[in-house]
Amino acid sequence: MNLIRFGSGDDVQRILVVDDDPSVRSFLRRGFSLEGYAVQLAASGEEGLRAAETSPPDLMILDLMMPALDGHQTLARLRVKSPDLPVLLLSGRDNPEEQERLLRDGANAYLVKPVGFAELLAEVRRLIGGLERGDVGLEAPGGAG
Amino acid sequence: MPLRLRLALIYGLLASLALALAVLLAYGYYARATYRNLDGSLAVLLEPVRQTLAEQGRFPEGIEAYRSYPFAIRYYDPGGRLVESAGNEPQAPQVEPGKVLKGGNPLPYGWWVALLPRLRASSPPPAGSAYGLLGGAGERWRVYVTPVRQGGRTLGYLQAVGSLAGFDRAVAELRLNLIGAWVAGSLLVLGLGYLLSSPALTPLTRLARSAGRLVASSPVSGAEPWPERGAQGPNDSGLARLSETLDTAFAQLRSSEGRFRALVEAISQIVWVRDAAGNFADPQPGWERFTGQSFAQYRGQGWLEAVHPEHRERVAGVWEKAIREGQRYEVEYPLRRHDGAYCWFEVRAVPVRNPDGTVREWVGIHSDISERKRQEGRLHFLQEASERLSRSLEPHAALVEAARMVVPALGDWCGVYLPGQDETLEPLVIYHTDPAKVELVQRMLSRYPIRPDAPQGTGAAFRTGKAQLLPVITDALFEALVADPERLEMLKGLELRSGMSLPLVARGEVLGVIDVVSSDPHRRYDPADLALGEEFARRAAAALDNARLLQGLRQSEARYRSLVEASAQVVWRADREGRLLEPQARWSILSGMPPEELPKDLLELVHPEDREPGNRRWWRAIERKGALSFEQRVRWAGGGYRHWQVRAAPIFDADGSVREWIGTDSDITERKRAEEALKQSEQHIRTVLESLPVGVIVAEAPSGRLVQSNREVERIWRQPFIAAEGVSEYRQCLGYYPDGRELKPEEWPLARTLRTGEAVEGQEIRIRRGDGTLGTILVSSVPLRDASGALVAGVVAFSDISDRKLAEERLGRLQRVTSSFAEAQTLPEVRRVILSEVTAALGAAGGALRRVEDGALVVDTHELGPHLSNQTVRRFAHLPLEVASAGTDAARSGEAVFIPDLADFARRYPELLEPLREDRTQASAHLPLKRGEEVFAVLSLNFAEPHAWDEGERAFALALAERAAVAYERARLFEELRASEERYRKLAEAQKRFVADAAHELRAPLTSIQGNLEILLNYPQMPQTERQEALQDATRESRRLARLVNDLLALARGDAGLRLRQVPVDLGAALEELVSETRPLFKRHRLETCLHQPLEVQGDRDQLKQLALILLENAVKYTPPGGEVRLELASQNGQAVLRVADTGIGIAPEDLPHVFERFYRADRARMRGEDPGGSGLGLSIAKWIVDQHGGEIWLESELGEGTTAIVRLPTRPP
Repeated sequence: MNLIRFGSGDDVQRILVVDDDPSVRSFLRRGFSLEGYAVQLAASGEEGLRAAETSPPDLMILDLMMPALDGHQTLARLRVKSPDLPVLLLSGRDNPEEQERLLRDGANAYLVKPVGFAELLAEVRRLIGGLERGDVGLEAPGGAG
Repeated sequence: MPLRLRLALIYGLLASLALALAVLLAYGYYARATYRNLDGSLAVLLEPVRQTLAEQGRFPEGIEAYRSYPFAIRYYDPGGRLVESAGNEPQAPQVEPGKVLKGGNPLPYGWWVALLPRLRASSPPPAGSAYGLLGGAGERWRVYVTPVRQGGRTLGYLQAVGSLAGFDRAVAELRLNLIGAWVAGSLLVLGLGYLLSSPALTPLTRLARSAGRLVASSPVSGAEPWPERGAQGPNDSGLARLSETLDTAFAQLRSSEGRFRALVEAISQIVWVRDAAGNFADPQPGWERFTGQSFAQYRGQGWLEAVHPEHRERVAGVWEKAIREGQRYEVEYPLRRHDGAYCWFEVRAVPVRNPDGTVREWVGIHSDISERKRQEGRLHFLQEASERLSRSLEPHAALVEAARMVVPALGDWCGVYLPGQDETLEPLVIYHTDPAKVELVQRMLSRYPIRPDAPQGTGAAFRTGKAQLLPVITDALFEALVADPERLEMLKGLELRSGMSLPLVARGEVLGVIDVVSSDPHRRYDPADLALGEEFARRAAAALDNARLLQGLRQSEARYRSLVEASAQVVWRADREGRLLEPQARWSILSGMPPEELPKDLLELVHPEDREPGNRRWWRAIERKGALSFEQRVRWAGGGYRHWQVRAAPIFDADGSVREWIGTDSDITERKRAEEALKQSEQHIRTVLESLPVGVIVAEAPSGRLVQSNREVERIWRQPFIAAEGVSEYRQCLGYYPDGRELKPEEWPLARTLRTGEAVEGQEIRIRRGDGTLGTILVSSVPLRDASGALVAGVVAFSDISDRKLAEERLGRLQRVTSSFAEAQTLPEVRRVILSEVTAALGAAGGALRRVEDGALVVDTHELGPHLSNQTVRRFAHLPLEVASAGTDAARSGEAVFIPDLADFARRYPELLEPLREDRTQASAHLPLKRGEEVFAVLSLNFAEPHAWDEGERAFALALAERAAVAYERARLFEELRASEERYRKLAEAQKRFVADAAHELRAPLTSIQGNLEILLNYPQMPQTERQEALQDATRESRRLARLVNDLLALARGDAGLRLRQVPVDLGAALEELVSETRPLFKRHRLETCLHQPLEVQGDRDQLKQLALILLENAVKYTPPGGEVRLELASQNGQAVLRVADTGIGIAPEDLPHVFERFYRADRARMRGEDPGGSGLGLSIAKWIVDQHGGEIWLESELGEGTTAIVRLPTRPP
């Protein structure tokens, strides 16, 4: 069995990662793929919006500090077409006011870098419930088979 | 036309023609006679002169008398040169005798005269004489020239030039009158002709009827005789009007006739002609008119009958002698007038000779001199009276003498009255030829004394001092005045017909009255008689007074001495030659010495300085017979001198000669002392006035005449004291109220005080001084009153408060400027205040504010006045301080430079005069604005007019400059503060951003590391490749994190004030080394180097290498593979110049200013993607390194072309 499910089966939940830092993208792809999510990567806000439109994901992980379209602008544009898409903000910025504003503007969760993968995964699962369907859980690393 | 009218016209025309002819003839005759008479007069009057000249070669004595005639008399030598002249010279034109002779004898009468037969010349001129005519329509002159001969030899020519103006006027008037008479006559004849041609009435009845109508003024019905156009009244009113016209015509004729006759007679009165024997051969109208004699009576010797009997013989004798000798003569005698009265006449006659020298006839002229004679008679009477009066030394004898003289010269009665007891006038003497009548008057007066309160006559004369004249005394007058029948009878018996009451007035006092009365019914006293009587009375009064004085003198001589001593007055007498009578007595009193102790020469008693002047005055007075008065000092026995006022007056005899002198000496020593004291006190006041620091003027009330002033007045007004005669002349001084209104003359404080008596306290008045400048005075004015409280003068005192006012005004301006500065916050506002308000406060036309910057004056801001050219502004916009100019001088020295005028400017900056020639700046001020001791700006003010720059104004300017400097400095600090706040704000923002950026930059690798490590731990079963990648990621991110931390630490050290090493570094060698170390960096790029060696700089070798490395890494990072990177090191202007150029993507212009900011990235996405190893701090670190080496760094870039980083570093001096 393939524990890490790549591909895009209908039953697979899809996560779109929008971050300009390649190492962050690389890490997120690796982690969520191992957890059975289909992960799509975008290096900028425009790229992310485009991807979100062409193949709508189940969740977007969005960085804030990006050149050109930053996280705020990307979120605002996203909400025009996909008001209900869960968006998890993952940023190095830890200004509480900014967090509040973003949550008010439509972000569903906010996590500050650096973040442990388990914490991140738990949040993603909380948002899209992937934990019930997933074979692998951080809580039960050795489970399934 | 009715026949009657036609007839009337024919009659009228004929008569009118006849009348015209008659008038013309009459006119010719009289006109000719008129001018002829002038010619005759000229000849007659010249004749005696001519004869005297022929005999004695000079004008006769008495020629001055000719001055009263309207012509000039001149005597020329044969050559035509003027020798002598007389007569009415100034009006007569000059004319050479030769010219007149050539002019012949044109007569000025007109062509019509030619129709008449020549009139016989009443006085043909001597042979060789000639008449001429000069002048034109305006004024014509008749010239008569006659040769002066002796024994056939011509000695010269005598000329008379007389104005024809009077004659021409008379003739012109005559002409007019005659024309009027002709017109009137023609009308008359026309009217008569009309009446006469009426068939119904005889001429007489018609005349009578028309006259009756005229008198009755009642309209008469009947046929209308004369058609009257537009007449409203009854038909015969036309006739009434005709009669009226005729009447007027007659009257005109009569009056013109009368005037005409008077004219002719007036002229013919001048001249008469007698035959060679002296008898009247022809009728003489003048003689007839005056004497009333008929020709029959006066022809032959009959005229002598008219001469006063007493003079007849003498006159006949004079005549006989004249005729016998054939010589001109003059004689005066009384001639009987037609009414029987005698008038004095002066007669002058000259013989008119035939060519053979025999006398053909006599031409004479006589003039009425009765008035002159009367005056002479009066004078004579008065002279005699004076003489006689002065002869009598007793007062009453003098008056008796006077009364005796009046009769019979002035009247038949004479009475002299003096005030007696009980307020009546008592007769001193009554004089009449008949003693019986004298007794009558005496008796009457004792019963009816003359009272001074009588309304007229003697009493009134005494009371009023005015002479009373009763021209006619009639019985009726007495009856009206006097009620008492007895007295009336007495008065009537006195035969009083005409009278005068003459007051005796001497020294203003009425002493008595002289009455002069005539019993002659024909004699009536007139004002001339009264004048004579008054003159006589005055002399009589003087004589009386004199006599009384003398009498008094003699009587009380003894008392005088004591009186003198009591009243400090000495009376003395001197004889007519001025010799002092009883000198010992006088000088004894004067000197206080007993007579026996007096020096021999009495003059020794007089102060030496006074001897000569006193003597001179005394003898001059004697010579002139006039009163004198002088002062002299006489030695006093008690010591010292006493001042005496000497007065003396001559006592005259009646004949005008001095009989003696009476003099007085008054002791005026005390007065002198008082005067001296007064003078000293005046002097004192004067001195005080002059030393007063205020102007003082004293003016008389009420005129306002300025009588005194001190020097301060002129100093304040800067003009000489105006000696105004009255308030209206105060307008010569210009004064203004504070509101600018001009003071009217009567509004000056002094004028107000003089007018109303008010005191004016401290009024401030702006004045226009004599030199045209304005000043301010503080004026007070008070009235001066005499003991009775009457306003006698006004005193005005004023002080010059111009300086104070100016200072006040400047203080006000300074305050205004200061408050403006207080409101100005920013530099532009302060500059505006400086240039507008400071400029205005000093009255400058414009100004410029220049900063001191980098050793030059740089225009900060300027306001162009009309006086500065743009060229000038440009020229001085940037002026190195070493250039000599007023502004730079002020900046260098820190002292203000004041330039009063162009001459001063030319002296100081001759080389600047030409460039500034176009400006109209005449004066300027250059005020340094200082911060402590440092001049940071210069304010230059320009004036269109020369400026004195006195002490006060300089101080004012400096004060303004100081305020400006303070305000400027404050504004500068304010702006600096604002800038620094801004810098701080930006810094704080950058800091905040930096923290955020740094957190972000640190967290990104941490996230990757932490996440990958967790995955490696939690997913042991993940594929090998995936594990490998995770480990690589974590490792790379750790490195990145380390580098980032290093960079941050480097910057933090710099921020903390880390100093780099300062050692000599061979930059070229260091770069070579770097290039060899970084070869791996250029795997995909080409590196070109061009390093200038050796190039030594002072600094930290490692840091400089780090700098170059950052630049090279950036170049590679932003240049696509295959591109070129170029590293250059050159020496330029003593600096090391490092260039790192690439052929990369370039930087957008908007990003360029920010490239040195920490974590700033022009294009993060790309950069992040390609080279995640960049910290975003490289250029910040590079800049820090460059700064630490005292150099500069900047980027030049073009998008798509590449970027060049340039570093300049100071080289180490070799």
